[in-house]
Amino acid sequence: MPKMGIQRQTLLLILLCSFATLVTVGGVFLYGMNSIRISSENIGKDIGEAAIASSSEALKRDKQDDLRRLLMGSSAEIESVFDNLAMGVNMLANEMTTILQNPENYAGRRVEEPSAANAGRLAPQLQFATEGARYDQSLRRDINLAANIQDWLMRMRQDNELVAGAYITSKLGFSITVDDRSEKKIDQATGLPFLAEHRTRPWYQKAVAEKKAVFTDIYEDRYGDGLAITCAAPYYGLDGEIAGVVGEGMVLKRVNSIVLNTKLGETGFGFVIDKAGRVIFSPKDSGSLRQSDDGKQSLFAAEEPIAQVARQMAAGETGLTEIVIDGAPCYLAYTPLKAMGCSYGIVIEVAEATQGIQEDVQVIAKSTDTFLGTLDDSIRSTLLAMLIITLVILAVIPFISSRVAKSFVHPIHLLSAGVREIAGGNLDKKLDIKTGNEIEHLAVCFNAMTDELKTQMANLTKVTADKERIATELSVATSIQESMLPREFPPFPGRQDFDIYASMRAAKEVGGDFYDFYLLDENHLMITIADVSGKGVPAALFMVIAKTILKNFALTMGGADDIAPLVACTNDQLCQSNDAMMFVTAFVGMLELDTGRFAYVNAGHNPPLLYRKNEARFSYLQVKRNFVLGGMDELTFKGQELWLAPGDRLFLYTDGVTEALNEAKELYGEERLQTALNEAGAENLTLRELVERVQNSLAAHVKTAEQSDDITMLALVYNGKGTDPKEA
Amino acid sequence: MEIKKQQTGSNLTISLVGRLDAVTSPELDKVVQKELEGITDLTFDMQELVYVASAGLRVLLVAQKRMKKQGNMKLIHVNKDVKEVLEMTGFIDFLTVED
Repeated sequence: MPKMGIQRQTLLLILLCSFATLVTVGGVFLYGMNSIRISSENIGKDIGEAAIASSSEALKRDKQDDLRRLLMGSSAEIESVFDNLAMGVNMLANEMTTILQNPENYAGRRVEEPSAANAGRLAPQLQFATEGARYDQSLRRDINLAANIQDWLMRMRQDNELVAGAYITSKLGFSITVDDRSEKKIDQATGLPFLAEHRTRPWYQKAVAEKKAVFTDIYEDRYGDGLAITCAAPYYGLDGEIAGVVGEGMVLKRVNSIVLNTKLGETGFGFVIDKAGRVIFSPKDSGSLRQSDDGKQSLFAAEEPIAQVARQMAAGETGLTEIVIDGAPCYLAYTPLKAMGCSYGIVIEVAEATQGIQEDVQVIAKSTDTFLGTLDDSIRSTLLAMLIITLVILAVIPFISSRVAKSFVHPIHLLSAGVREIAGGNLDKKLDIKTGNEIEHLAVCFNAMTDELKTQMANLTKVTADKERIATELSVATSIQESMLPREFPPFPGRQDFDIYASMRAAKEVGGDFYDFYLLDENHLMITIADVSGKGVPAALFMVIAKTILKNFALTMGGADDIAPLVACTNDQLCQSNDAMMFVTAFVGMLELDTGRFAYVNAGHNPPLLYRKNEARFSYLQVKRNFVLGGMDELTFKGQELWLAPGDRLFLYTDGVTEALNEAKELYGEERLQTALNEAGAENLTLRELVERVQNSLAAHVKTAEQSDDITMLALVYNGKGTDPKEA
Repeated sequence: MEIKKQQTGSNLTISLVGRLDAVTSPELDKVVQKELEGITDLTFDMQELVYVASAGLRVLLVAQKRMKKQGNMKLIHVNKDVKEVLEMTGFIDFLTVED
């Protein structure tokens, strides 16, 4: 089994695809979710900021309006206290004027000086400015007339609990007062009432000067009831001139309580400063705006922005400003209390004024956080779902991929099993795979291949058989051919007058070269060496024909003179029915053994070498030119002859020797052949040894190059008497 | 061996390059057997032929016999070695050899 089977590859592929899909989808999802998350966060932040931006100013304005409204409401309430007071005073003055200008309508009334018996009780009390006035009886009538006011005074005092006392002071030097402090007007030492010179008092002077209801500056109540203020108005006598001043003293408890009750949110509070910049009412007992303890500390001496505002307040301005008080940014609204000659201010910390905004922002931030939390939850749960899906896929994929892979692999297994069987030699095996895909196609191809293989094998068997048959036949032919050539040496062991040695080595199984020698009779030896054009079987066949015809004609030959006609006849015979246009070069010679006469014809063959014993060297024969045998009929051939002396030798060969090639494609050549023969020292060698020397020389030249032509050599030595007629 | 053929009408010049031996002769034999139809003048240019074996001579003989019937055949630019073979085998007497 291969390491990485299709099954594993499929598993890996499916896993890879699943993971890629999951990662891609998951990545896109997470990216999207994260984008939404970031957007949501930003939107939440933006909404918060926009809310701050849009509502901040409105809220501030609202708060400031609240502040102003509260200020106006409170100051109006305070003012109404004074208005009431002034109204009462005016009423008293009117009543007093009416009494004085219509004395006939009023009977005289009694009024007593302060008496200790009235301590703590409301009682009208008569007081005098001077000792003289007390004892001036002429005033009695005026006093009794003025005493008609005492019921009004009583009522004023009763109606308004803030009114400490109501009184009239006549320019004549007496006063009538209604209050509950009779005992305090009596000198404990003498038991006599104190004198009370009211005409020099500021409220008297001011009312006289201004001829209308006036308010005094604030002062410390003489009887320890805190700050007080007096409202006074002049009244007129019969003469229309000012006859005196009516007044009501009011403690500022009510104002104080209004101021102290002024509350705005958590930090808002009211305060009142007087013209000197002193804080006269304030709920604070610490800080810049604390109530002045000794009535001496002025805000004018405070740090700058506060002092500035204090001066504006003291100057009676109305306004609203943002100011840092004791380190906290505050809004401060102020307006004058005209009657009191004071300024009323309300302070609230800016932080509180904008608290609503902060709350809005927090609400938005909180809902954004809630949304983000929900988003995170859903991201988490989706991730969890993805994780679960991944795990499920991981768990399921091996099964799926295994099944998928099996469906792929099964036919392949079938295929490989079938192919193994075919490879095992069963060419009749047919693959039967019906998958409808490429594997089925492959199986079909395999079947076709098997069929083809069968045919090829059948052919191959036949061809091989043919080849073997031919090889066998060729080998038989080789042995036939070899047996046609004389192969036993020495061939004529009984003859001492000559010896022959020959060798043929065919380039193929059968060759076109041949040599032949035979005795025609006791005295005539025929030798032939020939080379058929071409090689192989055609050459061999032609060689057999040539050899047979030549021998047949030679056996009928009369003598050495017949050698040329013999060759001509052979030629004519070969030319008949030679459609293949084969030819043969041949050297045919006949030796008269008793004389050494050697008659020969060279039919287009290589010239042999002749060894003359007396010269002790080989040299080429100068042969006459004749055409080859079988090429053209009715030719005449030129014969030649020579005389061999004892010890002379002939060396015949075919062109396979001289034209043998080495690897550099160089011919062995006639020169090398001649040199090899001469260097061999023929005198001391047998013919076999001589031929072997040439073969060795040839082998040294050719080395590893392939033999391209038949190599045939024949050597003859003459040992007869040798009677050359020219020498004789 | 390389066989270059150049035909002008019924004149065919075959240039032989290399060695015409037993191995290469069948190629030329094919040419001679099949492509001499209608040729009246056949020329073998042997300028670059370095060797001719007996099998090659046989093909020349076949060509010569064929051309004898339908026109002329000649060998040109025959070098020394080849000429020696032609002389030795007597072919030179039956073939037209020009320089």
